[in-house]
Amino acid sequence: MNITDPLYVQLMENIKYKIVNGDLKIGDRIPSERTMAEQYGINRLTVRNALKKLEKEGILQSYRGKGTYVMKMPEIEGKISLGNAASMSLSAQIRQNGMKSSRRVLSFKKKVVDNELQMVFANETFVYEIIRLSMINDHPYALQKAYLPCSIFKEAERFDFSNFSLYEYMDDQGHRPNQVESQLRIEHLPKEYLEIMNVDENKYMFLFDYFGFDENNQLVEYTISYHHSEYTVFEYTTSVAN
Amino acid sequence: MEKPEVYLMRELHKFASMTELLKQKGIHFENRIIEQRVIEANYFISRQLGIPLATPVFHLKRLRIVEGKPKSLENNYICMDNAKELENINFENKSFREMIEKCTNRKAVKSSESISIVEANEEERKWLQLPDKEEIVLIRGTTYTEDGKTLEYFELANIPSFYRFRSVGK
Repeated sequence: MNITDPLYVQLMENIKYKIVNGDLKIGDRIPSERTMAEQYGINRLTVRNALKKLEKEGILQSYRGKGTYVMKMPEIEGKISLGNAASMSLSAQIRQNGMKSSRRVLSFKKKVVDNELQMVFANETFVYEIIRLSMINDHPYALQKAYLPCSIFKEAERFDFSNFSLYEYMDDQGHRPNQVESQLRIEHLPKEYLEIMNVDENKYMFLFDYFGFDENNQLVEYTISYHHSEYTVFEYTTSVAN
Repeated sequence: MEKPEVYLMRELHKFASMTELLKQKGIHFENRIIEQRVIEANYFISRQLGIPLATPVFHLKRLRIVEGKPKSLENNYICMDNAKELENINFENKSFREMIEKCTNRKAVKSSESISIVEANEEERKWLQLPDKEEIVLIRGTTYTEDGKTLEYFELANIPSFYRFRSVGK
């Protein structure tokens, strides 16, 4: 989403983002045109334009007298582009095709930085660890372990990570990542997660880990994410730099 | 003590040839030619290259052996005039892209690729020496010239540990 995009495009992208992150689920009714126009301080026709386009894409469906509902999942494009060169992106495409997705928090705790985490958060004593399970049609699809440094983030215990996204919390705290370094490899799932992900120990998974840096170049997030190969294809483009 | 397994880190902001990457890292490798000939494009290949069915395309199949172990089975398809001339070119241990550029004056400047994990088929199991039901990483992609025309379609069937991918961006 780009700030120079037309307002209706920005609103469309915002609604899609909310669906992808689970803030809006399939079958949920979205706020009315009037509510959104007032909430965002924009023209009601602009809202209507955005909703009509999303209806045309099949993501929303409007029922006269009843409201507008979420019908299917938009395609996810978590594009990462390389600064000014903008010559490549890595995008995780989840093979969803309108399937129901959900997410739950498996554990949340404040923990001492030790072992492997010391290599990542060398100057931290404590981090928040949030482990979440994403599901498609009630089948486990991805497991994420996110680590946020306690010197930067406060009162995470009070935040509802089941119903709100990690980035909404980070935004709230003024430290949303604006640069990400990510690595992808293909490995077996650690034994302790085999049961919850319902996979065989010989099954290969996508292991995607990334480091998020805020605008002050501070490391604000380290996430390790395991993706089931059945639901995931990674896509990217590369090009000769200009 | 067992030597750590060799892998290639693909930096996604660099449009690099795997052969050149291996050379730069000083890793001993061999690209063994399995097939090198002009074929008629089937439905799938014709769709990938944006050409009519049965158009002659040059097909190269190679096995990449790294430090004595088979790591990748690679298929490249390129549609061009005079494709027949490529049948006699020596592609062993050379970068396919660079040889194509040298022979045809057509240069790839961009690619779009996908990575998936799938069960190895019979041919892949044979060449990569894998048991039944073993999984491989399948990288498929298309390269384009500067004027946006499709140049090549490729499929690389790899041992899962052979590639890692890294990207940095906003």
